[in-house]
Amino acid sequence: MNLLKSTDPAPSKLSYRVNRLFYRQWFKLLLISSLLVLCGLLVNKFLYRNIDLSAEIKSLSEKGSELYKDLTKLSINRIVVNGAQGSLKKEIIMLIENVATEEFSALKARHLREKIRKINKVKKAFVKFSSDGLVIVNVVERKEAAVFLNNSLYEVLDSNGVILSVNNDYEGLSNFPLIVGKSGSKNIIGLLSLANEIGSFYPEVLYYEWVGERRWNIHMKNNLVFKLPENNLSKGVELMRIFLNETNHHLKPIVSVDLRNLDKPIIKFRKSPSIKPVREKAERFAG
Amino acid sequence: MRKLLQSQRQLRQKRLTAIKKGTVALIDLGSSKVMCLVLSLTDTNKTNSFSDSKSQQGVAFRVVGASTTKSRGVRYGEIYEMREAESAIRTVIQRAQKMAGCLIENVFLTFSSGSQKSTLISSSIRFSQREVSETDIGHALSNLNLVYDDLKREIIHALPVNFSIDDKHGYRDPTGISGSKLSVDVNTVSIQSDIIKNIVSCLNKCDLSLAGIAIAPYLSGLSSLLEDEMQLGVVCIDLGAASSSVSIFFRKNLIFSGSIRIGGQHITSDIMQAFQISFLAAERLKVLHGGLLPTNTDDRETIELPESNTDLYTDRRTITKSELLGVIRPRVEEIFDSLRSILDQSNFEFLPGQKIVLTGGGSKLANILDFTSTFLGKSTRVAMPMRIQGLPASAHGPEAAAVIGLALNLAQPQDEVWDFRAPFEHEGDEFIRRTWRWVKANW
Repeated sequence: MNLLKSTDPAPSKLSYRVNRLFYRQWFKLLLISSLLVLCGLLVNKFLYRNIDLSAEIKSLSEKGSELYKDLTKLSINRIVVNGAQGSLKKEIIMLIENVATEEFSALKARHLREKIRKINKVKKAFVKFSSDGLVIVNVVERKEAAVFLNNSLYEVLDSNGVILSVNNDYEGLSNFPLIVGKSGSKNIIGLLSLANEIGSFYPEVLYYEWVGERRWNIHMKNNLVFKLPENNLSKGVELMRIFLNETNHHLKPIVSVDLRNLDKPIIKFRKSPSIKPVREKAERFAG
Repeated sequence: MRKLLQSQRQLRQKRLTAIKKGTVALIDLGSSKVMCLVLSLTDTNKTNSFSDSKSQQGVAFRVVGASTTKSRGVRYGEIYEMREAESAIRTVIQRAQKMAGCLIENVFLTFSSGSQKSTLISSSIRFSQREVSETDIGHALSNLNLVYDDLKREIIHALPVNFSIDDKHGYRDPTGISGSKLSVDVNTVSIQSDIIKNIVSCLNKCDLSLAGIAIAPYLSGLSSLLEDEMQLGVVCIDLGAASSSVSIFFRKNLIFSGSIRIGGQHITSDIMQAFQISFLAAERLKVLHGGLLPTNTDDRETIELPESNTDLYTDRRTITKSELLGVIRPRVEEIFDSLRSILDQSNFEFLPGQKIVLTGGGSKLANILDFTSTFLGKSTRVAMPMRIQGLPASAHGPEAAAVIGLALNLAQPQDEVWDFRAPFEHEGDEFIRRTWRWVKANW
């Protein structure tokens, strides 16, 4: 005889089942663990990357180095360097030994790797420590690709334009193409492709001049100069090769071949009476 | 008999498994309301009344959740509309879960079925030894001849009410008594199988498992009657919404129960028809102004009938209280007339105790105490059910007698008698059966 409301709301089947699910222990654990994982991921994405822990780690490592200074020599027995030859190998070994004697805290793979990577000739470096005191260093060495003449100093560059060494003379570097001109070292990739396209005439090139930071002049050993176009470089090189093939033994009277306008190449001659046959050939080449 | 033994043991096993889990729900599936109590259970060892050597798991409990909702899809304790009943059960379960803060999986259910049938069956054996042993009790119980009307009935309760040895009656535990002939009387309460099937199906749809079932008249008596009354003999009348039931207790056992399909809702329905008002308004009128005994002022006392808010040009109608009483009283007389005929069938007159105890929501009707004692000619009292720990004050009233009785029955069940081994049971078989039951219960 109680007065219950006739509009008592009943939960739907779905909400009833979901509600019951929330009382189950395994479901609660699953939910909490997935929430924790989600939180962890969010923290890792948004917070952890913005926190600079390096300062704290540095201070800790400095404190640690004081404590373990005497144990340094005991920790390294042998050093194996892979991927480096000659002087670079020696340089790396010396560096590790120096670091080890300086401070114990520096003997961390990451720290050592950073130091090795600071060597110009090293492109990539990986350092591993083993428990028996063996240090394994895997190195990817930078290769010399070109020489850049900078204020009477010869800078040896790799394919990315990184200076590997600086020499006073050109001796022993003649295998590499010589670059002159302002900011010539910034266009090494372009130069290497140009040298590749020149092909069999490569040994006859004296140096490559980067002009106005936009185009190349090729100076041959016989004092002939090819002025290459800014755009359509490969077409210019092709014309240059055709020209050299055609006038192989008669180049002495010619001072320069201007290929900047590919439709109208300009050939400049020396002032000499014996150039008539060469001029004829050159005129035929120019069309 | 084998079927009865198995069903009783199955019920016992289900109850023990549910108790082990620590939390159970009790549902009173009534016609006007569905009530749910959530009990938190703790085991306490207690000695079995039948044998000192066996120890029974007694249960201490506390109510940790309670909820009530309007009943839907249920009539006379039977499910008429499955979806509606399901939604009502979902409502109470979800609320009770929220209050208890735990998941409910096992449910004990009570209802007052209009089709329940109480039968007293007896059997007797002659035993060769001087003293009655447990085997003899098991033998006597297995010798019972069940009276099945048809195969569609399911026995809910089978309570041994009396043991006799050589024409001496009234033994509660005959173990160790000397004699040559042992008789046992068992009161069985059965209902149609389809009703239980529907209830189980409905609970399964709510992801609940039925761990036990009991009829409301028996449980109302357990919660409302005093021990002395139960010992001497008493009639407990549960006035429900759609049905009214009678249970007779003697020597602390249920010896008879019966019900009629008339209840408080019929009174409300009569008021509704007589004064052409809504059901809720009629219920309100019955609760606030209803009564059974006329007084001199009834003709002058007017009651304003609630009108629908949508009717703009309807005059306010008033009725006198004597008019209202004139509607209520005939129906209540009809109810008690039917109950009296049931009592006449049950031979209640021959019991030493002649007391009538009223409980259920209908017992809140004004003057029902005087009316009943006059109408039935017996001393009467209106009983409030026993208080149990943790029960909210709002849920404590005569209408909650059945569900409180269910809690008491869960804590102190009277079915340990079915643990006695029957002669047709073999040790090996029983071991395998027990193992299989354990596996089924735990996985």
